[in-house]
Amino acid sequence: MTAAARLPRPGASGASGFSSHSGTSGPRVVAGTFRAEVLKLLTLPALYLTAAITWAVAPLLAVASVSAAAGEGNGPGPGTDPGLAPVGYAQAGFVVLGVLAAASEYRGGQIRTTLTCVPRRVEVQLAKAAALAVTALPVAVATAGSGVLAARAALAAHAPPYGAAGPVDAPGEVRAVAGAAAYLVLTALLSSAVATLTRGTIPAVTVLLGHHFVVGPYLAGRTALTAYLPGTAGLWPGGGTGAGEVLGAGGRWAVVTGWTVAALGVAIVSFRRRDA
Amino acid sequence: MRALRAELLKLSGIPSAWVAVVVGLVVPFAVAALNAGARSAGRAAGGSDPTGVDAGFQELAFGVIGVVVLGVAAASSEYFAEGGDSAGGRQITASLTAVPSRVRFLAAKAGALVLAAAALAVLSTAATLTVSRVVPGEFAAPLTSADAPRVLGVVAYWVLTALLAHGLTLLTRGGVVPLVVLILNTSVVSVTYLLTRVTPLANYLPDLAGARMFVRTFRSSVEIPPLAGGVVMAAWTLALFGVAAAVFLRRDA
Repeated sequence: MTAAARLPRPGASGASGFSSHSGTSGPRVVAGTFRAEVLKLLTLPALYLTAAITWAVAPLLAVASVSAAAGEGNGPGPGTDPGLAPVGYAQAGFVVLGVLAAASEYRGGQIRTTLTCVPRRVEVQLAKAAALAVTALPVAVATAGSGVLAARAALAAHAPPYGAAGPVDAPGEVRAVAGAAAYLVLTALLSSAVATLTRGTIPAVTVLLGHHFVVGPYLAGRTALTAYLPGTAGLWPGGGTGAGEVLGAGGRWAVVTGWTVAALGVAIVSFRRRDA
Repeated sequence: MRALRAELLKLSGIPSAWVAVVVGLVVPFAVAALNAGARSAGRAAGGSDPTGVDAGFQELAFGVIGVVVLGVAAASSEYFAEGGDSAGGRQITASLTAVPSRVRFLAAKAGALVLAAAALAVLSTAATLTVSRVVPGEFAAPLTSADAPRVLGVVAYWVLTALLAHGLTLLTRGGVVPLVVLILNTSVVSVTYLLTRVTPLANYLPDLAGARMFVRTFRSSVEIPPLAGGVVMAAWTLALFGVAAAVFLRRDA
């Protein structure tokens, strides 16, 4: 088939899927755009590198931090929870993943090409978010799975209450991995929303990592307010304050999801209104 | 001299540099204010105050992410441009056309960064130490002339960290890797701190050794006097920046 044969005939409205005047339905545009966005993500070498480094390094750091927390004789807590400790460092990788996915549009003006192909701004952003979620999910499951296993093995080397006291409880492990993976995907989405707002990698990475790794953990021991902030503190009872439970499990997930949805919403609204 | 002025002007035109200034000023100040409030409440209730001598200084130790971003942005902005209006330009080619001597270019760049980082450090130190002494009122451990070397230590720590970040970014040319490494390592449980549990030699890594210049209470078995800590950090910085400079002089722009 020649290239000319694939071009839509004049008047064949909607055949190309990207004509904005011919009454093409929204879902079809989103489906085509989604495929294109997945293809774009899969051809970014930086994303493969980020995923590989995250997957390789996060379990190592999880083992080190879990051993350090157990060695200090802290009671069982966020630092020694095998379901959550691996998320701590791994989320940096997913921040980078989300930021690079969104900010890559703003190098060399690629965003203008994207919007020329699909002149529907909301659909483009929805397709981008879906594409990122779908590509980040396998990386998140692999990272969370190996991290949970590594942390569990490291804790088993210590005396109870850390070592496995009883038989391994399989549904509990699956829940831990699923929770950690879901959190990592949400982190990538939140990060892409922030990068869409900043249109640059450095401000977005600074704000997100500064919050997740410096300000958030530092505040966690001092104010229960951190239970309502994005970041891993939201996953722990009491926002990691150790002062009892501020929010129930449902409430904690509502906070984490709520921040992501709100950030995506703000990003879409601003993307719609700003010059590209 | 004109190259230095030009580099200062360029630095002030990078949006990320202003993000760095805001982070460097607001983060240590806000956390110090919050801590000071919690501390004075604890003291009034009769609790002990083990970190009183480090009040403010502890917060400045991780407020250093401000100059990390400054050092990274100053180098990475030469290699890629982002944003709505960017057409993917590499500013480094224009910079080296204007200042063809790479040694002079690098000296001007480092000089501008040192000036900016030192100014940011002085402002942030003044604000953070003031709030950490004013909020607790009568409970505050007063600052004496004996603390002057510690204040100098903070400024030295910030300037050296900025140069470390700058050197690292000159090597990678991208801003993401140095930012992730250095910000993760500023977190409460830093990677270098985890390493000290594997080997006591990790106490001589630049961030841990340099922090001895102004932080007095350390959970560590290794004693390093403040001046020695500063020398160790300066040696690391010199070595890394030396490697970065050598690579920069030899590599295609």
